[in-house]
Amino acid sequence: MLKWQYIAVYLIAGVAYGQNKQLLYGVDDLPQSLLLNPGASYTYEAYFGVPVLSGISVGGGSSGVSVWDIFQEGGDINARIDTAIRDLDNKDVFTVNQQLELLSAGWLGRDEKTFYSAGIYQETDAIVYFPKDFALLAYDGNADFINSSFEFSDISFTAELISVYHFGINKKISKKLRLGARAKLYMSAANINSTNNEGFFRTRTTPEGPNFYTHEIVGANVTANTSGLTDDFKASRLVFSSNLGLGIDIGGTYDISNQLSVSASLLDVGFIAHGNDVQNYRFSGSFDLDGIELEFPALLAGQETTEYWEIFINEAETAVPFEDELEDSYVTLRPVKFNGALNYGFGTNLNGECDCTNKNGTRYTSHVGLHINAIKRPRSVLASATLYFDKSWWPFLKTKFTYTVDTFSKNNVGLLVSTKIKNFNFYLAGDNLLEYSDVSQARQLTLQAGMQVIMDSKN
Amino acid sequence: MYKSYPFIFCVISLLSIISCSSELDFDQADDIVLSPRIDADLVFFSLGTDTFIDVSIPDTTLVVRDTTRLEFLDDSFIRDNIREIEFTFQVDNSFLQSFSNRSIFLNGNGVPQYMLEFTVAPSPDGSSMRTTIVEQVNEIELEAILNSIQVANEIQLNTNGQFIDGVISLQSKALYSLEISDF
Repeated sequence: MLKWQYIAVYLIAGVAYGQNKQLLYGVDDLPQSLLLNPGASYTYEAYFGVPVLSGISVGGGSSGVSVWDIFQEGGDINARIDTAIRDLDNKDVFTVNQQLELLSAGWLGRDEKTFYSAGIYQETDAIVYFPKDFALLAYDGNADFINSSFEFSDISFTAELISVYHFGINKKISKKLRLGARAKLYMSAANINSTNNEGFFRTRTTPEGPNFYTHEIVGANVTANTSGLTDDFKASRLVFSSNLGLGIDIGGTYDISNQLSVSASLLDVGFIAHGNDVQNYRFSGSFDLDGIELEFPALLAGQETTEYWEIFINEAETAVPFEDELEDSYVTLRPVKFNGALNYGFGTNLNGECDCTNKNGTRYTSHVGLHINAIKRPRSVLASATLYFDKSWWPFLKTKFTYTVDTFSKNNVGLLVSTKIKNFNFYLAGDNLLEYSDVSQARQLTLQAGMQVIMDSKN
Repeated sequence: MYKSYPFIFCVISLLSIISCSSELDFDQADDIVLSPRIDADLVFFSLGTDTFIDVSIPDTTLVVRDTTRLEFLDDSFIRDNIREIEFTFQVDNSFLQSFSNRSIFLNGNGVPQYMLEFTVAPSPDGSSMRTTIVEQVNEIELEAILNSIQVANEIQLNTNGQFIDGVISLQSKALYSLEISDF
């Protein structure tokens, strides 16, 4: 298989932190930075994206295991799976995120202090936590785990396919402060999730009888919700879906000095209400089983044999029912993201003597800084810290180098290249470049690209 | 203005050149085998003196028997993937008599397919005497068990003309070893 196919496997079906766009955050001459901080600085008067191509972002990764770890040539694949299952824990995640800007445009208001931006993008987002307990139960069985609990909370995953209609305002409040907000209308084409599950299964020894063990399900409350997963799925739901949600992004930038600034944003503070094409699955209750107790009733009372099995099944189905025909509406929260950055500019002032866009501001050729990113996930917050250096080499070429550390990677080096030919801008960004030396061993890859027409005040 | 083309081209080319992949073999997915071992209770009971209604008859053989369906034995997943079964029986007996215990696996028509029989040791003095039996079934016996859907447990007591008094308690479990390779 060709190496690009491996990359595709990672990016399409794989597992990563595609939602951390450290390469695009704070890049003031790319409109995509406004999607990461509605209060970001910008250097243009207007832009419009090439439909469907203005912004493409795909990412996939795994926190604990790579494709190579399992499918390397030679050896015993079962031994490698065994090792992986034991090494992974229930905080390890497999994620995939993909965004595609369908339409995008932005323009400076007449007051020359307010910038408006709007657009539509499609997003696929999925995260699956490694269900350690039940992976062990499936792989090893319960025999080696007597008196151990298998927690249902280990089952945690979400996946959604949505489109987002958005409109943002970015306003210069003062000479030093810029604030922004973006309203979002979410349309969910498809969703499946199972989070916040409770209870456990355990096989417990019972020295006092009545049998060797008690197999117990304690306080089970396991629910899976789905919407839009019908046999006649239609892509038109991406354009209009009756499963709607609302959200908001907020952000700002504050210039501490001519060279030093801080920025922060909070994205996707919102929800989606799922009420159509909904199907829920629920398993709940508590139940103990010691085996089947024989009562020898025929001998005692001359009766027919007791239907122990039927009684057991009835009791189990009553105590821990599995309901698969529910159609209860439900609400999902969007994964909230936080960005914060400290930026230091130096070098030549690209605005020269006359700063026509950012009044009285300066725009340096080079920047260094620290960027913090965090995303709220069902069972944890995934956070990362990035050091970056970006430089405008010439008016038509800009690069940004990043070094990112997160819980699972300490050697993530990324590169953004952005070029501008007249008003036409094209950018390409990728991180974990060191992993490209052997993509099969990569645990995380993301790629972003886009093209748009950008008009700044000098044009 | 077009000076950036070579740069972009170089970046993409460099990425393409330096990126490579170790050889992977996805066909190994066919070799994946799960081997869970499921340890589960089977049947249990506790019988006292009054269970044996003919206690007044000296020197007689008393038999009590009960049957339950075990429908999971007929489950296609179990039938396709089970490789071994190990039964464990533990009987505590305070009767002065020994017992013969028979666990008989029957098909849907009640025809015996497999039988596991063992003797329960008598109590020497009325205190509880424990007998433990571990039985590993072989491949032929496994096939017979998988043809079954119910199990009958039969307890046989020979009074030997002695006074009958005590409690007999049986616990049982099975350790099922599976090999799952078809996903």
